[in-house]
Amino acid sequence: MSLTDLEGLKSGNRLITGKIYAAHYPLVERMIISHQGDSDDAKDIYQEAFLIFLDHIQNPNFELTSKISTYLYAVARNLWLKRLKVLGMNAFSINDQFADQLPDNSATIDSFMEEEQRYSDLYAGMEQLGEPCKTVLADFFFQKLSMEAIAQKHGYTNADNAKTQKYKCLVRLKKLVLVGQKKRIG
Amino acid sequence: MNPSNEELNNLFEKIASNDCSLAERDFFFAELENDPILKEAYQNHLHFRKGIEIVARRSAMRKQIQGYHEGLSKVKKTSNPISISRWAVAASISALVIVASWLGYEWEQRNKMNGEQLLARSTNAPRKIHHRPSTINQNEEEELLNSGTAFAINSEGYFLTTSHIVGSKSDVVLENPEEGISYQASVVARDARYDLVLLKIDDEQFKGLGKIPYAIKKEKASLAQRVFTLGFPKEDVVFGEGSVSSLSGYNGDTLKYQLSVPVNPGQSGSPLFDEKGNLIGVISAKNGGADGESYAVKSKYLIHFIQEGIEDPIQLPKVNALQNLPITKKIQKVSPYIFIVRA
Repeated sequence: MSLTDLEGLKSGNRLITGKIYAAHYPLVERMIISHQGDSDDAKDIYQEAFLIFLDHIQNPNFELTSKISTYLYAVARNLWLKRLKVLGMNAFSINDQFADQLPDNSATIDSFMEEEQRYSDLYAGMEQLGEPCKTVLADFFFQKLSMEAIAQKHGYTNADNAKTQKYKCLVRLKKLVLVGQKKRIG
Repeated sequence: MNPSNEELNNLFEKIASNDCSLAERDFFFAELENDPILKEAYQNHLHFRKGIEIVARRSAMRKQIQGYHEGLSKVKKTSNPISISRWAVAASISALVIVASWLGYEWEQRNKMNGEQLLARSTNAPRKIHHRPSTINQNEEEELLNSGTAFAINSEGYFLTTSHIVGSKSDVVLENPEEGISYQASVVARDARYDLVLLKIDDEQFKGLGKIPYAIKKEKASLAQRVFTLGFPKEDVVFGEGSVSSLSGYNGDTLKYQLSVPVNPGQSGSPLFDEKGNLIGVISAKNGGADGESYAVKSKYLIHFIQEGIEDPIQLPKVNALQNLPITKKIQKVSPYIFIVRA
């Protein structure tokens, strides 16, 4: 395991992340194409697997117990098996030489999926919110930018002003999410 | 002290991001112990904050990952440069889950004429179960209800419809007027991003459906492909047809197709079939400004939804028994699997 790779991934270094993305795609693509899938399926599944991986390593308790390639392959394999099952295709025989050596990522995948569902209203709300609110909130809560930096980036006169804007955005988002959950009549 | 919501929010923010002195912190948490309402408000704030962080992070990562894949295609020269993954949608789902009426006046005004309009229908037909053919008794409690269309995805009683019809309700009524039956059903999974909801019949009278005659197709539809749909804009089933007019929906929404199929409120949740009778989408909205322009969620996302939404994914129908039948026969075969959903 290369520490620099993992550190690069954790810190969101695009060069390293892109390199790792490209490096492990062919194996997954081959597995999917040789098991009733096409390159569209491969792309779809690999992107989801990669997202789960990136998300998982942000967890402070995360420990990589296998090679990155093995981790990605195992998640993608798991997702593809599930997909085959949904599609009613024979999902019993993904035969690969190291199947029993693969780490069991099903708990990680399940908790990821569960969160995706739980936050689906928030996803939809963030999209409906539009700009600049979407970016302001992302800058503050995800990028952890200071109010000063946000004021500068978005052209607000000062940090207090930016704070008020952020608050307004937050209120709008809450309303969207709440309304989205309560009532959808129209 | 009676702080405004904004002050309270700023205080929460200060504490949550540790932008305060130790004394302030101690004071705050002591207050919290004495004030259960404040405590709950703070916990809600933390939860919401965490949610925004997760959603913003994953959205940013999805966009990045999409970029990596495009970089890959440049080198490898794969054949589909325009295929876009679901989360590169960015500016597109802004209108996805929206019904103008609850977004306030301004929004409504802006979108009244030419936005994406969802297709729930308000009715005052009672939400009543009748297992045997019967007429609906109009004297039952009259509640303004949302109605739409739902279709079966397996014979054990799993149905799909759009989430904007069901909202946050946990149970609905499924009704097939032609067969004169209705069943109680409950919500199994719901995803506002795809605007889909999975229902399961939860009714002892339910004895199962026959084998689903249509198959769900995972491949993308083709432009100009002929399509048809069956749904309930009124109490009787209505047939509609047209073609796939664009591979993206309103405002470039990659989750959906644009169709030239006339649809009306109540048809939300209707299955969209290709000529052979493969299910390729779920009707969800129409363009209020352009006549006959409607939108359907692509079957690909239906598959995503089923795969993600339930722990033990159910198997979607894969055998198309309609393929060689004339259209009228197709409709006859399909009708028993399409229901009104009242929420």
